[in-house]
Amino acid sequence: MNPNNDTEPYDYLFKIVLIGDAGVGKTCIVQRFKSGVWVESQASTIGVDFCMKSCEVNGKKIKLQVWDTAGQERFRTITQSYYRSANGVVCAFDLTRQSTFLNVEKWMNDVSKFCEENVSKLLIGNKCDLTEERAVSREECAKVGSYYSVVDYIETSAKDNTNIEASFIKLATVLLEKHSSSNLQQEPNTVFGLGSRTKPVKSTCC
Amino acid sequence: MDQKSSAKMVVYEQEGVFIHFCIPGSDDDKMLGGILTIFKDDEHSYLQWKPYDNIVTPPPAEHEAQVLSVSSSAVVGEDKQLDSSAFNHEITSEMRLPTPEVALDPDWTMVAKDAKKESSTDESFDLSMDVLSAESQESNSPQYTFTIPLEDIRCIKKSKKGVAWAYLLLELADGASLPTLHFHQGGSKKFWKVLERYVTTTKSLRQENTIEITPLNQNALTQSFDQLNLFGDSSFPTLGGKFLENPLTSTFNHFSKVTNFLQDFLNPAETTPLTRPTNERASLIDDATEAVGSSRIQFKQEGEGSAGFEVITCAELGPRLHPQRGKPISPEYWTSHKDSEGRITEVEQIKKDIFRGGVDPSLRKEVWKYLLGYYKWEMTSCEISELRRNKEEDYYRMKLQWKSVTPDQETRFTPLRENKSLIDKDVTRTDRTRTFYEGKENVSLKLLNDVLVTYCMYNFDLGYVQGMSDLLSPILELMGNEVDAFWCFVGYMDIVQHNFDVNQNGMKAQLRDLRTLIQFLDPTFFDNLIEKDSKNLYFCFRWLLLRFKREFSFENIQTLWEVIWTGLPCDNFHLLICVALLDTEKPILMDKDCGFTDILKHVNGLSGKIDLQLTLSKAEGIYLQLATCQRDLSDTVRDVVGLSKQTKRKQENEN
Repeated sequence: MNPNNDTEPYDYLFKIVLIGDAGVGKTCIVQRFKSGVWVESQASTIGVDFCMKSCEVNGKKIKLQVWDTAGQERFRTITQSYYRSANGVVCAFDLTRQSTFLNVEKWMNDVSKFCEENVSKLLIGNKCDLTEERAVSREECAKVGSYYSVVDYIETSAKDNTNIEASFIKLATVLLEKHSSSNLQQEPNTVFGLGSRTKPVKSTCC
Repeated sequence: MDQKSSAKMVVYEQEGVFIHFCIPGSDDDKMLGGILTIFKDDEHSYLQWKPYDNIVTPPPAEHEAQVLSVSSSAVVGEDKQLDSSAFNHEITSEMRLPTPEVALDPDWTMVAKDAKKESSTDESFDLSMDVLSAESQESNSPQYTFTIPLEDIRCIKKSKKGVAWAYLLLELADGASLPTLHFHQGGSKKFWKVLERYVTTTKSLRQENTIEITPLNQNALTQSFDQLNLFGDSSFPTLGGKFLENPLTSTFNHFSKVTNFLQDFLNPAETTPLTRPTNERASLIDDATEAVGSSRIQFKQEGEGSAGFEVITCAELGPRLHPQRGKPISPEYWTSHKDSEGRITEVEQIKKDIFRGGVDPSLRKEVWKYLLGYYKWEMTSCEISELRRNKEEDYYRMKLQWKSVTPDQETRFTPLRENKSLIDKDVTRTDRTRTFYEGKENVSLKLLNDVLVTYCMYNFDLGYVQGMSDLLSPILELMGNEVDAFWCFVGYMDIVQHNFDVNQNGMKAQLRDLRTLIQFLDPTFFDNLIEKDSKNLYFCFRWLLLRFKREFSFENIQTLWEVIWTGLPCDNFHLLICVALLDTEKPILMDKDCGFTDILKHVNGLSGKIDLQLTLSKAEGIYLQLATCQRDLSDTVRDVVGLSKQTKRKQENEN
C-alpha cells in the first residue's frame, strides 16, 4: 500500500513536527502548505494527523512529512511521543495572543526533552495579517527565537498565504545542508515514524 | 468440507494403549490393547478408549445399567442402525443431542452432567464401562470401551521416569478411577499436549507425579445463551422458551449463519468418522492447533521430573456470529412503554431494543434525556416537570456565575480566562458545515459557548478540554435549548469524563484495554502492530476521545451513541467497536508496506466511510464470541468486557 498516492522518487525525507498552543493555526498552516487552501473553521486536531508534501531544494527532491499535533496542554503526553525521531520542529504561536507566545518556552522545553539534540527548530508567529490585534513585537519574538537557537523566526499568515511555503522551504534547506554535509543519506524506512529506534536525547542547553 | 468445524472431531488418536486387569477367578493379569482417542463435538471434549476386536472377558451383567455414554457403530465405521430403545432408558429427552428432524447418528448421544453423576457408583470400573455398541450387541460380546467427558477427569497420575512404558492413571471427579492406561507404543507426550488444549492442567502439590485437571470451558453453550438473552431478546424473540424445550435445535436455528459449522453436524453422511485413515489424522490435529491462534497458546516448561512436559493454556474462540440489527424504536413503541403517569416501563427491554436498532429521530429529543440520566426512568410526568424547573434554575445560577465576572475581574482570573479562550477557539470550528451552526452570527454558536463555559463552572476541576465541543454539538442541535443540552451533556460527561483526565490516565487505560482485546482476539494482527511500532494504538485516539464523533455522519453518530449509552452488552462496548473497525480494516493495515504513518493516515482517513450497522453487528458478534468462552478468558479480558461479574455469579449458582 502506498497511502501517499504519489510514488515519485525523492532524495530526502524529513519528519517535521508542528507544535504550539491550541488555536494558533497549526492545522491551517499545514493545510495551506499541503493543498494551498485556507479553511476558516478547521476542526480542532485530536491526537495527531500528518501529511506529506514534496518540494525541491537546491535541485534535490525533498519529501516533508509534517506531523500536526493537538495543542492543548492535556494532550502533550500523547503528542510528545511523536517528537521522537523528528528531524525538524516548527513551533507556532499566535501573534495576536500573547499567552501563546509566552508558552513558546514550554514547547521548547518539551523539544529539548523529547527530541534529539540536533533537531532543527523554526519559530513561527502566525496570523500576521491581523496587524491591528498584534500583541507581540517582532523584536521580542526574534529574541526568543535566537535564545532557543532556532534556524529562523518567520512571521506567517496561513489565511493570506504569507511565508507558509517559505517557512517549510527554509527548514528543509537547513535540514538538507545538515544531512548532506554529514553525508547521511536518508532512507525512507529509517528516518520517520515512531519506527525510528533513536532514543530521545536530553539536551543540557537552554 | 471444513473439518475443523465438524461436529465430531478426533484430535488425538493413539494405538497400542493397553489396560491391565484381573479377571475374577483367575490369577493372571490380562492385557487388553486398544485405541485411545480424544475427540470433541461443538461443546465438549471426550476421552475414549476402545479395545481392539478381541475381547478377553465379558464384564458382569449389572454393568449394563450403568452406561456412561454411548459409542457406536459409526465410530468403528459400520453403519448398522441401533435399536434406539436399547439405550433410551437412561437418556432423558433433554439430554438427547439430536432431534428427530435433524436425523443425526442415532447412536451419537450427549450425556448430561446430572445423568453422569447418577450413573456413577462406588465401584471404580463400572462407571467407565460402555457396553452398548451395536457391534457388541450383535456379537453379544460387550466391550470395555469407555467414553468420558474430559471435564470429568479430576487428576491424572503419571508413571515415574524410567519405566518400560508410560502409563497414566485417571481419577474422575467423583472419586472413581479409570483403568490404568499403558502406552505400550508410546504417545503419552502427545496425549498431554492435546489434552491441555481442552483442560487446564496443574501440577498437584499433594501427590507426586500427579496433574490436576480443571475444565476450561464448562457449559459454554449455556453461557453463550445467557449472553444472548442478556440483550438480544428482540432479535431472538422466542429463543428463551425454545431453548428450554429443545436447546440444540433452537441453538442451531438461531445460529443459522454458522452454516459451515452446522452442515457438518446435521448431515450424518458428512459426519466425520472417528476412525480415519492415518494420513488424515495428522492434518486434523494440525488444523486444530492452528485454529487456536498463535498467541492464545502459551507454552510453559514444567519443572524437574517432567522434562519436555509442556502445559498449554489456550482459549478457542467459537465462530463469530453476525447478529441482525433491528429497527429504531418507534413513537408507538415508546408510548406503549409509558404508564398512565408517564413512568417508563420495561426499561431493560427498551434498552435492549435501543441497543438493537437505535431510536427513531422524532423520539430522540425525549429518549436521550433518559439515556443520559437527566430524566430518571421511574419518574412521573409531574416529577419530570418539577425536575426540569429545578434543573433550569440550577443551570442559570451557574451561568450567572461566570456571566457576572467583569472583564477587569477576568484579567486576574486566569483559569476562567483560559477556559473561555479555548472554548471560544473551538466553538468557531465545531460542525460549522451543519446548518444549525453555520454562518457568522449564528445564535447556536453562542449557545454552544454558553453551555461549555457553564460546564466549566459545574466542573471547574476538569474545565474545558478540546473534544468536549464535539461531544456537545449533536446534543445541543437535537435539544435546541441550552438547559436540556447542558444537563444531557453533564450526563454524557459523567460517562466519558475520564477521556479528559489531566494526566490522560482514562485514555491510557482505554488504549490498554483495547490492546488487551486485540492481543487476545487477533494475535496475528497484534503482532503486526508491534512490528509496525503501532502497539500503543494511538491511531485510535480520536475514536476513543470523541466516541467516534468525527468518524460518522451526524445521523449515524446519533445512532451509535444511543447504542453505546444503553450500556449493553457491557460498559466497554465502544472498545469492541474499535476492534470491529480494525478487523474490517485489517487487510489494508496488515499490508507489508503499511507502516506506522500509513496506519495513522488510513485510520484518520476512514472518517465518513464506515458502515455503521455492519460495524455494530460485528462488535456484538465479537462480544458473543468472548461471552461464549468466558471461562477460557484471562481475568483481564473478562474485566474489560464486563464478564467477570457474570462468570462469578454463574459459579456461585453452580455451587
